[in-house]
This record gives sequence, structure tokens and C-alpha cells, in this order.
Amino acid sequence: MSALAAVRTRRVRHAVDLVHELVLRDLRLRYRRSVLGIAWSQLSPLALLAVLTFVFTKILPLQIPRYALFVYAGLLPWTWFSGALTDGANAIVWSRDLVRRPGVPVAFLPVTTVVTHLAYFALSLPVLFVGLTVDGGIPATALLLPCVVAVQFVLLLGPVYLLASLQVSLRDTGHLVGVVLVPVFYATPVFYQASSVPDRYRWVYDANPAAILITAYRDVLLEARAPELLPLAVLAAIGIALAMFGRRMFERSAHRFAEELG
Amino acid sequence: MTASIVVDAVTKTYLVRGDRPATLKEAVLRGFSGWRTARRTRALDGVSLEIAPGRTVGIIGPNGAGKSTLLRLIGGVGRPDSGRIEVTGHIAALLEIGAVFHPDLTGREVAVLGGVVAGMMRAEVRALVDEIAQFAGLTEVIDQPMRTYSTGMQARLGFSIAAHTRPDVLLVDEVLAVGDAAFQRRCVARLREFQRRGVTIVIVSHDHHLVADLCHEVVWLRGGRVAAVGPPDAVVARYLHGVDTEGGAPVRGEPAPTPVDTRFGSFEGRITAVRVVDRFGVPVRDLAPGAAFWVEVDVELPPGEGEPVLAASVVRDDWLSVLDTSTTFGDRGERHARLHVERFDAAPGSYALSLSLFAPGWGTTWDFHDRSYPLRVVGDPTRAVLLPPLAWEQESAILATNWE
Repeated sequence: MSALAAVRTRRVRHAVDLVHELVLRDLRLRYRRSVLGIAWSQLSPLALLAVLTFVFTKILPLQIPRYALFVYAGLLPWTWFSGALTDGANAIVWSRDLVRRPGVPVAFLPVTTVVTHLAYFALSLPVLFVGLTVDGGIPATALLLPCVVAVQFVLLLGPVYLLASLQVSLRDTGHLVGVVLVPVFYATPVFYQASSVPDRYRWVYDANPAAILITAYRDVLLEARAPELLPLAVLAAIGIALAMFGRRMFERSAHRFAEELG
Repeated sequence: MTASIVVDAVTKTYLVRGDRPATLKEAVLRGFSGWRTARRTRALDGVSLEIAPGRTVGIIGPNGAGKSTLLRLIGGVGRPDSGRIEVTGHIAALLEIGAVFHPDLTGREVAVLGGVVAGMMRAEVRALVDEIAQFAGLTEVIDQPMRTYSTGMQARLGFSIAAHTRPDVLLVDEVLAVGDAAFQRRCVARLREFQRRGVTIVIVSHDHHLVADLCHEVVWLRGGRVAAVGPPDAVVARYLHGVDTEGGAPVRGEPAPTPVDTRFGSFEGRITAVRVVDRFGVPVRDLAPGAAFWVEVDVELPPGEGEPVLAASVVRDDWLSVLDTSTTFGDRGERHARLHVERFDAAPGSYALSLSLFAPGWGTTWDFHDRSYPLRVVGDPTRAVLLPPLAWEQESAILATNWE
């Protein structure tokens, strides 16, 4: 191995270590000094799950089979999606001291946020799998889950880069994300089926990346079928392009973060 | 030899805080005008330096002179508005304690995180944690959360982490002031070890003693410009005396020129002769505590208006100024002045006398003999300031209490 390649390998390994440590810090800090600890990351989706299940099986029955699992399989990716965007907007402004420290590769902070929320997602999966085992079993197509996860991961990177750098100079960004996510939640088939949406509104779902992803999650976890490839491939392509664009915009403004955060 | 750090004509301005809209609402209310027209202050103004590998350079100057800004720019935080900064090698920084040191993280977690943030691999840092804790003197509490640490303990941990990261370039900003004396000694020893290992070090400090002691060169920043640059003793002395020489030469990689020439000025007027004598006119260098001495000075004053100033000062070897006095000349030409110090009550120790001649109104420095004339007060050295003639007396305690 040439010296240059060795340097590059070390750099990649260090990047992995750095994100690893920063994610560990996030996880530790969020739940330290609380009795239930990391279990809190499970409790809020579970509470929402309980409410949605009660409302849409008892009060407004939607007639969706295995409704609790159905909702949970949509709720988990949604939680990752919205959590990463909300916290991603603050990835830089909440890390003032890291940003002002020489030698810290700031570009890893937005990635860290996405990975942290991926970790919460991953921690919730056992609950989902237990539910699947109890009610219908885990289909073989669940092996495709990492592919869907990868697409969602890539798709989140670009927006998080953009939001994080925008928030530094314009603090409205974070609030805006919170406001926008509310209608998007209802426009995403988390607690209902995309197939029950009237045709004239179908374009909203075809254009909604969260809807495409959640449908794919349900395909591989509940319906035991391979997800539709084309929309996922398109999402992945858009995700990669967005990530490159976002990273570039981020790098262009990164030099003024320290100054703006003063 | 290629430089380790190159700072080339660097200018940096900062937004005046609060002068630009921070939210959309403010921006709209101001019609977006603030985005372009915000006022900026100049932190650095055409600063150039070149630091060779393995050199230690101190940056001194008053608050707001741009010292920390320069250090941050060298560290790659922010970008100069104009000019160029190049740093070769891996940088470690020793700045104020930051968010890495979250109060709820344990010392061990902070050490690992701090090490990884500073560029080490997790495995490398984890192998070093015990050593880091030991160096910081925190072995027993390393698994306690940071919020239980004192400021000094946090600073020690921070220094210890940076000290173990094996950098090529180490940036130190005023942190050594936090620890106790023992820890400071250990830090200085560690910095010397870094020097031996060939690490390039840049130190920002108000501790002139430390700077003079540790640095190969010193840069004096004033108002964002390099006011002086050169050997530590000379630059620190000029800084302490508030004397300016515009546009110093950049720091070069060659060793500092020795011996230090302690005479500088424009030499329009000159101090032609100086004699330190006792009351009998015999030249002296060693004095008894409380002894008298005279300073005889010959000067040549150029023709002109106003009254030139002759100043005499005595500093102890730790920069403590113990005497400072001046006189003015009404007449020009060749003059003789004599300063009578009737009692020099300073404690035993090493001192140096400076004489300086200024244009009227303390204007231009004509001739500065910076600590050129050593003085010694004999006796057991002490860090006290004064030892005037004194005596102890004793008497019976019974007698003393009977006074009541």
C-alpha cells in the first residue's frame, strides 16, 4: 500500500471513529441522568403508536390488517426522517465550541445527526421484529431492509447539510422545518394507506419521498414483497445528487460558521 | 527549510455583533439592507509571519490586538478576508474548554472524545486514557462527570489531552494560567519536550515571563498589526515599555541573533554615557539593602522646541518594575544629569537599570538602553519587594503583657 493510500485509509477510518464518538456523545448526553435512559427513545413513538392504533381501530376503523404493526413500520422511518431534519438544522449552531476549535472537521457534524437518528431507528427495530414474530412472522424480504435504510440515509444527508448551514446565518430555518414537517406528516401515509388516497391527490404521494420510503419499508417488512425499484432508485439518485450539492454548499459557507457563532 | 506556518499579508474583519439581522423578520423589517451594509471591525490588518518547523513563537499584545484571531486562523477556524495562511502538518490546539467537555460526560469520555476530535483514532486514545488522566493528576476522578471538576481540573484535562495527541503544530491560547503552580511547571516541561521533538508551537499569553522563557521569537500585535517581532527579551521589553517600532521584519527560521542588542531608538538624541556610582563617586554594581546610588548620565540633545524627557527605571529579573522616574531638559546640546537614589529599599535580588531618552512629550524614542545596567542587591534572595533597613527586637512576654 502506498503512503498516500495509507494516509487516505487512515483518514477514512478516522472519519468513522469521529462520527462514532460524536454519535456516542449524543446518545449518552440525551439520556444520561434519566432513570429509563435510552428507553425514552422508544417511548415517544410507542405512545404515538398507541394513540393512532386506538383511534384508527376503535373510533375511526380503517380496516387495515395488523394495524399496530402497519403504523409502527411507518412511524419509525418517519421519526428518523423528522428527527434528523429537526436536529440537523441545529447540527452546527448547537456545536459552537466544536466549530470554534481548530482541527475539527465540521463537515461531520450533519452526518453525525443523521447517524444518531439512524441509531434511534435501529434501537426501535427489535420492538418491531418482536411484534412481527408474534403476529405473522418476519418475512424473508426483511433482508432488503438495509437497502431501504441506505436510501433514506443518503436522502437525508443533502437536506441536513443545507439546513445546518442555513440555520447558522438565518435562525428561522429550524422553526420553519418544524412548521413544514406537520403538514408533511399528514401528507405521508404513516397512519393510513397510500392506496386509499383518491387518484386526483396521488401525485402528492408520488412526489413525497417519505411516502415512497414508508411504502418500501412496509413492502419488505409486512407485505413480504420486494419494494418497487424505480421510485427507490430515483430517490437514491436524487439523494446522492442532493448530498453532493448540500455538502458543496456547506463547505462553501463553513469558513464563516465560527465567526457567525461568535 | 520550508516554513511550518506561513501567514502572508492576512487581513480579517469581523461583523460588528448584532449589526446584521439574525432572523428573517429582522431582515424583512430592514428591507434586507443589513445583509450587505453591516459594519465590520478590523481584527487583523496585513499580518505576515513565517515560522520554521520546530520553532516556538509567542504572540503578545493588549486585549483586542488580534492575538486569538490570528491563532484561530492559523488553526483553520475561519478564513482570512485577504492574504494567505498555510500550515504544514497536523494541528493540535489548546484553547478554552469547550462543548466537547459537556458537564455530564465523564473525564474518560471527554478524554476519548477530545482525542478523536483532535485527530487520533479511538483505539489510540483509549490506550492513552490512563496516561492522560495521570498526567492531569486526575486518575482517581477520571470516571466522574465533568460537572464535578473544578475549572483547574478541566483545564488540566484539556491540556493533557492536547499534550498526548502528538501534533506537528501546537497552538496554545492563554490556558496555562488556569492550573496551579505545580501543574504549570508540568505544562512547561511538556512544552519543552514538544520543542525537543521538533513541534512548532505558537503561544498566545499575557505571561511575559513564560513567553520570554519558552519562545524563540516573539510577535507583538497591536491593533491588528505586527508592532514588533524578534528575540523575546527585546520585544517583550519594548512591549512593556510601550515603545513601538513600525513594521518589524517577519519572523524567520534562523536562530535568534545573539547577543540581544538592548539599545534601540531613532538616535536623534543620544545617551552618550551612563555611570552608576555610590555616594563617593565609586562605580557600583552590588548594593546593600537600603543603600544609596547615583546615576550619572551624559546626553546629546538635538536643537529644537520643547523639553526632551530622560527616564530611568529599574526592573527585577521577573519583570517587576520597582522604580520609574523621569526628568525633562530645558536646554539643548550636551547635558549632564544626575539621579540621586537616596535609599534603594528593594529586597535582595537581580535588577537592571534602563535609561531612555524621548522627544518632548514622550514622543519618539530617541535612545533606549533597555536593562543595560545590571544592579544587584546582596543578601538572601526573596520574592518580596522591599527590604528597607529594619531590625527585630525582643523582650520578655511578661513585661509586654503588663502594659495592658
